[in-house]
Amino acid sequence: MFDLSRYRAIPEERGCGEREAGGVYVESGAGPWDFPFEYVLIDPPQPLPPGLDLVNKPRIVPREWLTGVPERDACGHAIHDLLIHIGATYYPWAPDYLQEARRLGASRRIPATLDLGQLSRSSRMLLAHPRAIPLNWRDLAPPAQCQKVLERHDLAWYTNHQTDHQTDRDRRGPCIFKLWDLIPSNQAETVTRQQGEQTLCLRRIGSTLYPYRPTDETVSGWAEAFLLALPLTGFSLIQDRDGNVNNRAKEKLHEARMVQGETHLPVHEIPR
Amino acid sequence: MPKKTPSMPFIDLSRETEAGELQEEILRRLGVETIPAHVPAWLPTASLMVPDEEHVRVPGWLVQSIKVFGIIQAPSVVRCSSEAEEQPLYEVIAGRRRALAARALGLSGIAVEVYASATPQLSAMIALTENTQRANAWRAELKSLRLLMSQGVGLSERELIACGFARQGLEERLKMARLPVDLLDQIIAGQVPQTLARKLIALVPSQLARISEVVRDQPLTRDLVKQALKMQMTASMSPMPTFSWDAPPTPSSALEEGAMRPGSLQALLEALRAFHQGPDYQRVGETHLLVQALMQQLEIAARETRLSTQTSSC
Repeated sequence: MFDLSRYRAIPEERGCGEREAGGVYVESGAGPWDFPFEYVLIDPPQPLPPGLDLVNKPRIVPREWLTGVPERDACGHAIHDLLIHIGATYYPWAPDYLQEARRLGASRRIPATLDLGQLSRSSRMLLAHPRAIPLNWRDLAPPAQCQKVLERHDLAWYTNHQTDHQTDRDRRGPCIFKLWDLIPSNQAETVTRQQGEQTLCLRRIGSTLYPYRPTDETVSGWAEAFLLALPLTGFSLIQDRDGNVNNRAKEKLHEARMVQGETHLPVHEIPR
Repeated sequence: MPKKTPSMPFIDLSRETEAGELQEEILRRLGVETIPAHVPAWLPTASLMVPDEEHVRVPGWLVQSIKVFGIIQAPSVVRCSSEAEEQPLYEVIAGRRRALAARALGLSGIAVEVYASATPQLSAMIALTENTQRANAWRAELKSLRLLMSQGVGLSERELIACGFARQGLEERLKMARLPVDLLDQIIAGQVPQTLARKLIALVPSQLARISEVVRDQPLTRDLVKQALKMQMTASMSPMPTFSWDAPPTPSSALEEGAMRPGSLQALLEALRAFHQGPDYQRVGETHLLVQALMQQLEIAARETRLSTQTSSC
């Protein structure tokens, strides 16, 4: 079994600010993993099922809810996944979160009232953002390149197959990599315009800087969808000034460890 | 542990009294012998005093509603000036917002229910009773909305708001009014709590149709709705990508082609770091952000190609 304690969220400044004393955080640590980051991107983003509201309400659901097939881990326990919403308050654009997660890993606060013991090494954290699907994506050009190299997803494919994306009835999408193109240039920290080249923008979220090249296309509206399916690498319990952590969560996770055996997730107590 | 001090119960229902005696006891506590007589009257709005007026918020939808339909339920008032007064004043004991809304609209007078007398306790009880009677008003509202719809009076959300319906919750009520007949009947009959009705409107038509079939023979239950929501979620999710820590996937050839060789990546990163720490970097302030962004991207790339690169903040 992998030593998950080497996969930690990097403690640098994030878009959502600092971790709070007494908080319970679930992590998907920064790599190096055995697979590229693109592998955990959900492309095209998956719309939320009707009736599912995740805003400030993370949920732990059986894997069966998502795939229709019950799944069990190495110890025979049913696998559960965490569904969580990324707020647009701190991450106005979906790439803000994706870039930060790629660089620093993911660390999301969850209520200690959740049944934390259901989460194990086999669990995933599915993250949804309110600006994941442009509603008029069929009217927009595909991105120059889909990093997951999916068919009918990017201009590169259409060029290679000498097909017009505008008339392709079988066009699939939307491509997650289009989301970078749709960030307006006025959202950038710096804008560089060079003759004959597409505008290059640099955007900052927390301590993460990333480039994008806006296409200035108009988006008619947005839909929330799942973008990332990250593996879980542990829990972090943030200490208060006296070194105490959320005891309720600590006890739950300790009990879970007894039940889960080798599929349990490591728990770290972190000074604030 | 301090001893708990016993407190006076609001209404001591444990006492064995006849119903009549119980009512007398309640009236006694409300400071009256009998419920005072009350008669409908039309009073000038200028004669109505609203206690604690500065803290009463009158919502816009109420003003609009009264403007269109008038006051449906008369506020309750009690005379608070002496009999000798030629222009007596009345204190509003229930319906403060309605009274203030009428004043805001410039209505010269409104219909009220005038109580012969009142105590502060009785005033509070009358206001509480009004609110309690209104608590189930949402069912009556649904019934009325359905009636309007069935008679072809198709009012849009915008039109209903123009008539003074509160915007908040209107969309929800309209969705409820459009539920299948079998389900709506149970809701209106009081067999379904509001919380469950709210879950129903989250279901897609196929699930609603399925539940409608089921409730023909049995009452609607929370478990039935929960099961339908679960089936709805499962049906609408496509299979997720699967992966395992212990069995890394075979990388696609295209991804491999795009990746730089680890050695060249490391060399580039080292060169950039050297530039970042050197004197020349300070002279080209306009490139700082670009260099920082580039370093971050290279560090990520180096990490993802399994190099032992130390991440450092820029």
